Amino acid sequence: MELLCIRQWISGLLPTVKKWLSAWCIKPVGGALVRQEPEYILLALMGSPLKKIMLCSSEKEIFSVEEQVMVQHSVIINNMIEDGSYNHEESKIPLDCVDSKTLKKVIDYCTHHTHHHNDNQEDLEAWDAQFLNVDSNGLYDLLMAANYLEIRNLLDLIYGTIKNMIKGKKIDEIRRIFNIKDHGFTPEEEEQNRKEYPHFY
Amino acid sequence: MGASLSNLGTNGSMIGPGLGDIPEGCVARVFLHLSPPEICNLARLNRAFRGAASADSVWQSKLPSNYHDLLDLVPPERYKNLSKKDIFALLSRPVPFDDGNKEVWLDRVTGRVCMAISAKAMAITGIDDRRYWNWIPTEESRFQIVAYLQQIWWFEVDGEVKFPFPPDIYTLSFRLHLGRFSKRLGRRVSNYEHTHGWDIKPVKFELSTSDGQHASGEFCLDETELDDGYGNHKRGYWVDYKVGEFIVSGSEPKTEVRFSMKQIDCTHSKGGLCVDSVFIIPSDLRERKRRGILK
Repeated sequence: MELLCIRQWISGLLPTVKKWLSAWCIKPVGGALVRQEPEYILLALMGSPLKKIMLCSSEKEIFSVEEQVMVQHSVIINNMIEDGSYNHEESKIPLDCVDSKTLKKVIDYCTHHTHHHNDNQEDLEAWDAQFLNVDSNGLYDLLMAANYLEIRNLLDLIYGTIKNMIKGKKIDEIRRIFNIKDHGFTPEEEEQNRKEYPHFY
Repeated sequence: MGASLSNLGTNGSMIGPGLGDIPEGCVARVFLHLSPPEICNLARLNRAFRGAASADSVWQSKLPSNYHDLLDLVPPERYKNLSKKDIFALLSRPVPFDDGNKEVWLDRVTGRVCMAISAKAMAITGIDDRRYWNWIPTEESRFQIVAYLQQIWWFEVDGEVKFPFPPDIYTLSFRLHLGRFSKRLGRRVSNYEHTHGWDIKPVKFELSTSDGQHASGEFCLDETELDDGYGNHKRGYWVDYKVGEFIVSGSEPKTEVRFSMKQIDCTHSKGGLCVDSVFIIPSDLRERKRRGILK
């Protein structure tokens, strides 16, 4: 009951709030203000979720993204914000091992999952499947980025995909799919493999 | 869903690092979702996969939480300094206990605990009287011996086991064979000269646990009607008679299971039956094996 009253009060304040926010150079993100959800306005007034942070790819391209989005998904970025090593006015977070193309995809993933976390499971899974419809190299780049940034749910998603790619397949086929030209074993090591796992030879 | 195979360079090969360059730590995370045989197969893929296939973190996740209880059945010098992978390999072969009359092992694919209990570990009414029962050495039993019933009126076999089973749902079954079998000129033949009485009344199978669970079933071990013309389906084969299921919620305290099969209607005699053992297998594992899904 109280929440309903607060929502109505905030909705009533909406035009004024919008003016204030644009005066403070806070731009609506992801259509939040356009959707006019009071929770977003309230949070905006408290200052945190519409704050942006800057991520810098290995190609020196800057990506601006909602702080809340990255903090929710990346343990590394969350730790940086929490321990104060990131200064909002001046800093950008350099991600030298993530290229622009991959960083953009990672940001897409985190943003979608933050804004759509209430969607039903099927829709989210369909989106994830489409998201991971990339080539083998792209999947590797995403894996490395997610690993570096410690984005747990993206990592689990990628591990699941890799598992499905290799489950039930013969070694030669997997080498073809992963483009492994040189397995890196010496002849002695191959012999060792044969002894250790004889039933597969 | 997932990755496609495009992104070829001009000469048709992939450019840049790819999935073959996944570090060992990441491979180990993928292995958490694969079965031991699959992991062993993938160890040959490349160095990172081979390294991950030996990682303790991977094999720790395949062992039951109370695997130390199984290791207690093995002489310490056999498992001292073993990696988790080798411990899994050790425990996936039958580990005998109780004077070799019981065996326990981990299923190779799922890592779940399975057990077999020999007829030698059971209390069989009249077992000492050679007019009724005889012990027959045979390779067809994992314990190398089965109890053969010639004839008796009071047929009763009881057994029990107390073991720290990991949490799971288990099925208990008796492995029985109508008729006596032997090898003649290299071929297996069954002899039914003593087989009688099993089609008159059913045998009652029961199990109970110390925490009050109970299951039972009644089966006629033989068939009188041969109406389909294909002969008796119950003779000449080892048959697993499912007694029922019991649930284990924790390995502490140890689960105590009592089981029995009885046909004590003394108005008719019965005979010509081999009793090999009792199996305690996780239920869905047993179901998958019966349907041929798991090897």
